[in-house]
Amino acid sequence: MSFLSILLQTTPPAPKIDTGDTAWILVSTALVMLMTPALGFFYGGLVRSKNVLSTIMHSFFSLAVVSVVWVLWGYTLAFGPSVGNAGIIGGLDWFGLNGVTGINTNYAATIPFPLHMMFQMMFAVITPALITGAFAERKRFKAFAVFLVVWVTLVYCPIAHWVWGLQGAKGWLGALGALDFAGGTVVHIASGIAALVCALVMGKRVGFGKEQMEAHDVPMVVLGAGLLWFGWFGFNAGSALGASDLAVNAFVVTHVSAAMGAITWTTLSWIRQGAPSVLGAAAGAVAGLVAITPASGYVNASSALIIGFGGGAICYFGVVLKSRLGFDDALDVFAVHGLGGIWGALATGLFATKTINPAGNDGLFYGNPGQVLIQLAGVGATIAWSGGLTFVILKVIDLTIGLRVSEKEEQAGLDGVLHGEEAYQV
Amino acid sequence: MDTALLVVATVAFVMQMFAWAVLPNAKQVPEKSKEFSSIGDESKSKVTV
Repeated sequence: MSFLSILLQTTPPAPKIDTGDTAWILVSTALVMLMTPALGFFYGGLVRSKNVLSTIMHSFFSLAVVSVVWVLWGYTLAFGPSVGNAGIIGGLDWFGLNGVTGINTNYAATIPFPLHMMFQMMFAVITPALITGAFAERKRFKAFAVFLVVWVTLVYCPIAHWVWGLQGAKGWLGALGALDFAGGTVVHIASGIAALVCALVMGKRVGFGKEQMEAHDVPMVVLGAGLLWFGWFGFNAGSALGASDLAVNAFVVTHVSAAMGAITWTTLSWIRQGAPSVLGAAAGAVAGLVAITPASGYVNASSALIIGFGGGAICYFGVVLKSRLGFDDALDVFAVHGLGGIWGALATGLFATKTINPAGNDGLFYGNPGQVLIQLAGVGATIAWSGGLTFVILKVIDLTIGLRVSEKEEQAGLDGVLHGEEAYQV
Repeated sequence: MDTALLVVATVAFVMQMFAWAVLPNAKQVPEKSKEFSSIGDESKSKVTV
């Protein structure tokens, strides 16, 4: 046997970029990017007209600020070589994208490494933007800007590393076997719990419970929800990191769950309020999308229908409960993203099946009850870390910069007071 | 298991379909302030309207 033939038999093939996979993740990245301005419309329509610009700015500014944070230190903290191989936080080896070139087979063997960085950047961008619905109509802009940078660094990056880190060592939750295909814990539980803490720490808006605080533009909300639904195909199906059958399954179950969530919330609002609410349909679709996110790479369409049904119902009653408890999570972030994310994480432990994804695991209904406990551990750790750190960050900002605008400024409206602009010249 | 889940999902949908058939067409034209901005009397929620 010649030396050349021995070499050919023992050397693994060099990683090669697949153009189909790369094209799909490029498109998915752009889809997920669109979700953040879409969230701005969704939230912007829900607030009063005097605060619409400040609310949209929360999302739009997050797109800019977190993108820079991600390039400088965010990506390396979340996905960089694990410090001490402990699976807790990435090191600074990739600071400023140093070394983020070529292909990284730990993360994606068929797409360029910088594309993985960009795709993940969009997840980091939207996560703190989700929180902003909790403190809408009352937070100082500079307090928000600082919160954005600190929260992504101290809360988002570690949790992303726990779940998705693969460089050097697996993140500790990933090593434990926790399943989170597209960010149920990393994105939705982390932001939903942070939103709850924000609402409790910041207190109620002036006039809350005494005066009406109606959504000022329902079509804007529905436009935002529609664009979120559209972008979510990139969020979930893109998380397959390739143009594969797994991506197609994620695409299917994402749509199915959103549909069932919209139907269920609409039905519940119809039963309880006597009319099928348009805003309820929009919120229900988002609830279904949140719930399916961690499960989208592990479950089939039947399970997705049940997950969407549960998402719509649980989030709806979460809003009812919030109203009875009386805290002012202005745009119901905790009910939709916190409770929806928790349901989705646990549902993954119930409905996951290896027939969809051999690299995943079976859930309770497919003979593996232990998966539910692992999912619970992931939920608990995320709640504790996000809740605790968010509280500390808010307290420090409150003591140094101040979290809230004055009562007079709040009554005047944040668009004029903080941004010197008005949305509508009527 | 797949069949059982499919049955549950189908029931969850069909039950809602029956509910639509018996639910009122629409509530009385609401007072602007309340019916389109809250769940009954317990919510000032924006999302649920």
